[in-house]
Amino acid sequence: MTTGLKIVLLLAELLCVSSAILVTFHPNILHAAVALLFAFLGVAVMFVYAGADFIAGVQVIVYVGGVTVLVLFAVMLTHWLYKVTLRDVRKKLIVPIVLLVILLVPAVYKSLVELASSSQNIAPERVAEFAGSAKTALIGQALLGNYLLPFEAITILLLGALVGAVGLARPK
Amino acid sequence: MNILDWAVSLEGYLCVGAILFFLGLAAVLYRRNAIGILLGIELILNAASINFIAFSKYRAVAIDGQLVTLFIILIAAAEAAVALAIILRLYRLRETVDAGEASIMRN
Amino acid sequence: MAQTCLWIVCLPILAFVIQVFFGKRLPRQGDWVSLAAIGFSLLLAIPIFGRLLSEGHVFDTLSFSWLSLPQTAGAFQIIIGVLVNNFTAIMLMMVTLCAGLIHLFSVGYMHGEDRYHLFFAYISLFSAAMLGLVVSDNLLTFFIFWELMGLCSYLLIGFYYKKPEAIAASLKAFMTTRIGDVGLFLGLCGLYAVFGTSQFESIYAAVASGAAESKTLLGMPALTFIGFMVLMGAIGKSAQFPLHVWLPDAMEGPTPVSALIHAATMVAAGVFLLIRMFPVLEASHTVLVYVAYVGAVTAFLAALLAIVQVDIKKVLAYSTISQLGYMVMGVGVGAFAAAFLHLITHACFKACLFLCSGSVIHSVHTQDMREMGGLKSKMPWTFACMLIATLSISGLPFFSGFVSKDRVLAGALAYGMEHTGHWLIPLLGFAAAGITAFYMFRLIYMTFFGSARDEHKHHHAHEQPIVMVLPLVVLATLSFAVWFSGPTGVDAFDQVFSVHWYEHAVAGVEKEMALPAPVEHHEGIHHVAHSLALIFSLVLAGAGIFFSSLVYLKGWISPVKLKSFFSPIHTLLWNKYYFDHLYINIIIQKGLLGWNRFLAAFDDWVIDRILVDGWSRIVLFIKSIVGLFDDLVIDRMLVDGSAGMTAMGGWAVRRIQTGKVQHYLIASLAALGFGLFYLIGMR
Repeated sequence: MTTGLKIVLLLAELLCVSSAILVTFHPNILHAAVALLFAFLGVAVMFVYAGADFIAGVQVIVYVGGVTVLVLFAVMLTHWLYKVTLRDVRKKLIVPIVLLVILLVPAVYKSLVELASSSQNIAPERVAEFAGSAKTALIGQALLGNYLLPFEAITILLLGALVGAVGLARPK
Repeated sequence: MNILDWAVSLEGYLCVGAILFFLGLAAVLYRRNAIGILLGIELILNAASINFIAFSKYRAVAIDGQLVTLFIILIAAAEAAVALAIILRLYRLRETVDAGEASIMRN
Repeated sequence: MAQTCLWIVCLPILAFVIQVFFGKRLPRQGDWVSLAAIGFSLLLAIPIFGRLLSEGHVFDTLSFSWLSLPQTAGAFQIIIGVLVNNFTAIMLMMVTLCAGLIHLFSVGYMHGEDRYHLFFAYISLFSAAMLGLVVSDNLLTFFIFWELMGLCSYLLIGFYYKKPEAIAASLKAFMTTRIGDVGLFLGLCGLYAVFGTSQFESIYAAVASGAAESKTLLGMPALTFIGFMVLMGAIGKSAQFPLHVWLPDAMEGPTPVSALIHAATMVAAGVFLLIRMFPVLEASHTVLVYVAYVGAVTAFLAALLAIVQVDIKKVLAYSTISQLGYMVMGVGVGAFAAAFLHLITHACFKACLFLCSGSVIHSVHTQDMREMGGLKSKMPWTFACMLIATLSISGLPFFSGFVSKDRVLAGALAYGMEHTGHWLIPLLGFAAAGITAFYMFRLIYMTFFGSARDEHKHHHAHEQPIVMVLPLVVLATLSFAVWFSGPTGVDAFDQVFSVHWYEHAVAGVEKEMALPAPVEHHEGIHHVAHSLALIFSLVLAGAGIFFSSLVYLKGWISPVKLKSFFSPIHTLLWNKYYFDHLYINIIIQKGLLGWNRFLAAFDDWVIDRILVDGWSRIVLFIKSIVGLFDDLVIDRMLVDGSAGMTAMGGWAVRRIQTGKVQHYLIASLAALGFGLFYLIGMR
């Protein structure tokens, strides 16, 4: 992998992190939503580098094209835009949040490190070969093979979500 | 190990994922706006996706992680739709999207 | 041909449906729908009858499996269908023609009546049922249509539902015929038990093969049992003694109904049933003689009753019973062909008589003959038609009644000569013939001759419109003998109604029924009997008419003196042999009502007071104990106690329920954190 490509990935990761910070702390919810869009894009780039180009495409279509737009709609529909203040925080909760972060960060870090180091090392050539191979057909076969049951369950779930969303948002 | 190599390694992915997770968690807890909470949830889900994709490439060397990610994305889409519908409903009912106000179930 | 028959049946059903649902809104209340339906049925029936005349034989069947239970023992299945043979063709012709003419007559007679459209709906349904019965190839659908006719009869007798007598009469008719219907149903069950089928064709074949002779049912030979049950059905439907009581009362219905149902067609269905089942009756060896006695006794006793009636329709009703008795007697003595011919001729002339009486009633607005008289000049057409029909029923030469009645009496006489122990059968038959002539002419004289007894009513009397006169004329024309016995000398007519068309038709049916061949030496007796019967019946009819003329036309013998002379007999007849008294006052009042009261008392005392009330006492006692237990232990301790516990728990837990999403989230995340620490600590 050339240095240039690695730089692009690093930039994408930085984009993810910086956008995520904005999502979390930007007082204007509209701006936060737009920042989320960029975070999604960064994640999509990371997916491409991990050899998951099909998933990256889905990520862009569903998240960037669908969910973000949905969120923006919701933001605008709720008029929150015109009432934006810095008070969009829970001051009372800061202490428990800090405690929680202190509790969780080491735990998550430690478990991740253990997971990363626990399994045996895979030959880098195999990883590179896997990353370069075409996987969309495999995903399709897996969806209608081993993963048929979750696939069908997801379709039912989406149908339910569709009906539920319509039922909830319907006037009166 | 220079920073560029770290970026493409498993640790780099996991690190970004962890940061996204905690930022999402912070948003969920920190925001008063229900939509903000939703944004945080999306971040958390993306963090999980990143982890799955990373382990799929570097450890399993198989597509199963990618399939799980696919399902995560789909579930997230469904969840976003329903959540936003609930938020709009709440807004129509209460003229607010403050999650703290949505406590009519109490008592 | 069989499919044509289905259409013949279905058209009136269609008319019925239309009339019931839309009749009121149609122009003229839809009488034309019923009229058109029966008219088309008539048009469809004519070719079938025409084929019988030209070819001497028609036969066609159409059947399908209605119900099939292969799993049961013997693979039970019900096959229903259509059987068209010679008798069917004749019946179809007769029924559609009579029904069509009576529909036409009703247009005039029922004009302006309340529920006009329903009247036509009912008679359409009735026509369909009668036609369905005629074409049925099995006893099951025969029975279904039979019951359907009973229903129509009930509805139409009670058509003037505001008259209490009509309601009572309809109920009486329904309940009385029901007794016979139970018999027929048992017979049907017996048929299935013995033959496994109710198809006439199969039954004929099975009887001819002698397979059923040895079987028994309820301790008697199966064929005898079936025969008696069938006879019971015929007694109910054809109003034979002792179940004749409903038919005179049925005259409460509108006169066209009396003509169609209670004279021409429905009551003849019982005879038709006997004819259809004739092979079974004959094979049983014992039933036929009972059939003959029932018929003969009915013919004689009903004829006597007709003498004393003053209601014009009642006279005709008893006359109908009497003539039906002739038919039953004809079947009983084995002359079923004669009986069937009498059925057909009787349908024509009796329908004509009833319609004429309807015309008279419609004109003078009374049914009491004592208020009539002298209508001859006022209603010439009606008079002429009624006279022809009366001559026919009295059995005078050149009229149809002569042809058929003579054959029945000849059969009876031959039977009496063969079995000298049964001399009573022909004797009663001949006596009835004489009495018939007497009372029919009494009716004619009282109605049309002499002077007007009620000036007011006589003044208003008038001839009826064409729709009412036309059926009379047609039916009167059919009361001549030429249709049944040719030849006339007119070639065109003789070519169509060839001399022996009826003989050919009977021969065809006899072949289908697979009857055993008659014993040879009886031929001579038949020949002698025929000549004797001819002479006897002519002499007796002449005597009847002569005597009637003496009494009612010339007045040489006073009816009043006659009445006082025969006082005890008159009282007996006036009270209809006390049959109604027997049925209503003794059997129903004393027997059934007493039994009813006993059952009611049993119900009240034993069932209600001892069992139900006693049980309820016990239950109440247990209830109070259980109630106490429930109240103290279950309610207070368990239910209220657990509720209190829950309330206390809820009160304790409620404080941490803030209702804020994020509080819950923090709590769950804390749990997650501790969980992770625990997992890592395990490593």
